[in-house]
Amino acid sequence: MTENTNIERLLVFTGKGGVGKTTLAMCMACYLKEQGKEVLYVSFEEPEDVEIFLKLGIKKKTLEVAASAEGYVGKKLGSKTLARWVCETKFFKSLLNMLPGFSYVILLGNILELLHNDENLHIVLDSPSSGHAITMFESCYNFKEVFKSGLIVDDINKMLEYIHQGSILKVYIAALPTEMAIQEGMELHSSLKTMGIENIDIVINNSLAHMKELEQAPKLPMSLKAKIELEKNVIENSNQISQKIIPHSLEVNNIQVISDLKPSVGHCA
Amino acid sequence: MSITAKKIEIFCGTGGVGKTTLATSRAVYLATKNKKVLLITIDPAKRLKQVLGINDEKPGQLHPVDLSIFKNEGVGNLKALLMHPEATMRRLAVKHSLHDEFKNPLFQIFTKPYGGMNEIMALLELQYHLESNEFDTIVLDTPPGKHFIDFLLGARRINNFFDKIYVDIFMHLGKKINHSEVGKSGKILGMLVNTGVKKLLTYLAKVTGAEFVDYFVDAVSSIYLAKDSFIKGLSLELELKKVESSNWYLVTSTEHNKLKDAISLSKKASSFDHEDHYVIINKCLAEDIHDWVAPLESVEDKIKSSLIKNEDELLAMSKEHFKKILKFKDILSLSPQEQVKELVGTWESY
Repeated sequence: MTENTNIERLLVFTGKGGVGKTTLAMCMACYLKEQGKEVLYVSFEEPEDVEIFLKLGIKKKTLEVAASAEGYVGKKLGSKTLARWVCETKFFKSLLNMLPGFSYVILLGNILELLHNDENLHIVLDSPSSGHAITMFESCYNFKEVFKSGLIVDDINKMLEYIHQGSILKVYIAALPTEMAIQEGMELHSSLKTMGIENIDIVINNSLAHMKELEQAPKLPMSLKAKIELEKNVIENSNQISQKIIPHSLEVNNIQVISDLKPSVGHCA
Repeated sequence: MSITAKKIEIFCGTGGVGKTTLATSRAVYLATKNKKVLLITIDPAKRLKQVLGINDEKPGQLHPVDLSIFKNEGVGNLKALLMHPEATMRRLAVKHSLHDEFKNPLFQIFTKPYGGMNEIMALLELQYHLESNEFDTIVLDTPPGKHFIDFLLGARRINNFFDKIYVDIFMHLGKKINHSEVGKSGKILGMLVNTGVKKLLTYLAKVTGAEFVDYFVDAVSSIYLAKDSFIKGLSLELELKKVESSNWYLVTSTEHNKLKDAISLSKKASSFDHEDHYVIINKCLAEDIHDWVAPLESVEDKIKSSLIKNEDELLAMSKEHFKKILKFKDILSLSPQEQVKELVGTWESY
């Protein structure tokens, strides 16, 4: 695999539920597209609001476990019919259920294949929340041990090699500007690092303290001032690792929020 | 609205909404009311372990919590336990004499956080401590599922497992597997001489390697041998649905865009009807800034309405679907002990 490995082409957004991963990922996809890049937004669950992708002109792909697994097994066994039979057994379904990591290995493999087949493609992955993201990367290592032989081991090795070459992978850990949230973000950061993933930013989202409107020095009530001070403290205390800050948006609808935040998110690229 | 303490109190919600801090505050509150309380929490941020005065040296064990660290004058009996699925699994192994079987490397993967058996492990842990009868109330901070329905459904997965997988494999054997047979042979793969199953496993082995298939089939049979414990765990589900034994708290926060969660929840919640399902809206700010006079169309006005809008929408949505809503203020303090103390005060007012 000798392709564009020094360009960040797999941009993964993770973090706890409800911190704005999807919005940030969409901002990033829009930004890259405006830069003239070929972009695909990938998620493992069908997004709630499908129309917004049409409105923004972003191509999206939803990778589902069942379909991906069937595709994968089909390739390995060289038969779609056999694969369908295997994947439809209760046994196989339970296996995917009991070992979510196995599903993630297959999904990640699917994503890397997309990148491999089109060397200009950039993928923005709206990944499942923190713990699952660890599972996704960690699974490659865990299963390498367990599988030992079998066709999947070669694939896992190829995947790990691919992820670690150059700077193709970039992980953004989204967090809200509270102490606990940033702490957890930093814990995720160090877990990913132990897996040899180096290219990571913590993205602190929804920061009141960084709203551009504050520059107009509005008169704020005490409670808000206190909240903003607290945020500043929290953000400062954690600045030893690479962090990017996204301000709170005062816009109302999603499209406006995305265009409002796009420049700050683009700044992370 | 007064909240009666129940045998089991469960906190659900996505990660990062303040679930653990709230669960802790509820446990501290009840403990100061002369209840014997156990707080079971999933592995939270390091910071929270420090708050509770817990270290990781003895995972899966009960730790007494010194209530004075919350600057609380009351004395009470509170113990805390950090959920450790592996410890729960080990206890099962001892109970069912499955020492060798649980050395299977797949069990380490099963029992990792997000490993696929987390919910059932949480249920089994809860049940174990319920049966000990040591506590008046057990507060459970659940794994970060989307909400309580995910938690219950997740636990039910194990049921499907016994219904389906095992039947699939062992019906073909045409005989019952008992402990000694499985124990003796270790690998039961060789026993699967019959038709479809053998074929299936052969195909699977091509993709994943034969070792993996061996491990998986062995893991399945080990779980089957411990099935009494798992199935007992499922009976707890019924207990959880009884209004006299449980309080459920679904935690959301104004900082999170949780509107769509509320909607999807309301769709599913009907099958879990139970009087004492509370929605907690955490980190409320609106009350504090409502009286703030901001000139129309000013920057101030924009900031004010943006902050209040989210909260109002969340509240309106919650009211539409839930009878009991608890609001907790945003606690503007860096110290988690301080936060817990403030929240304890709010429980007092309910």
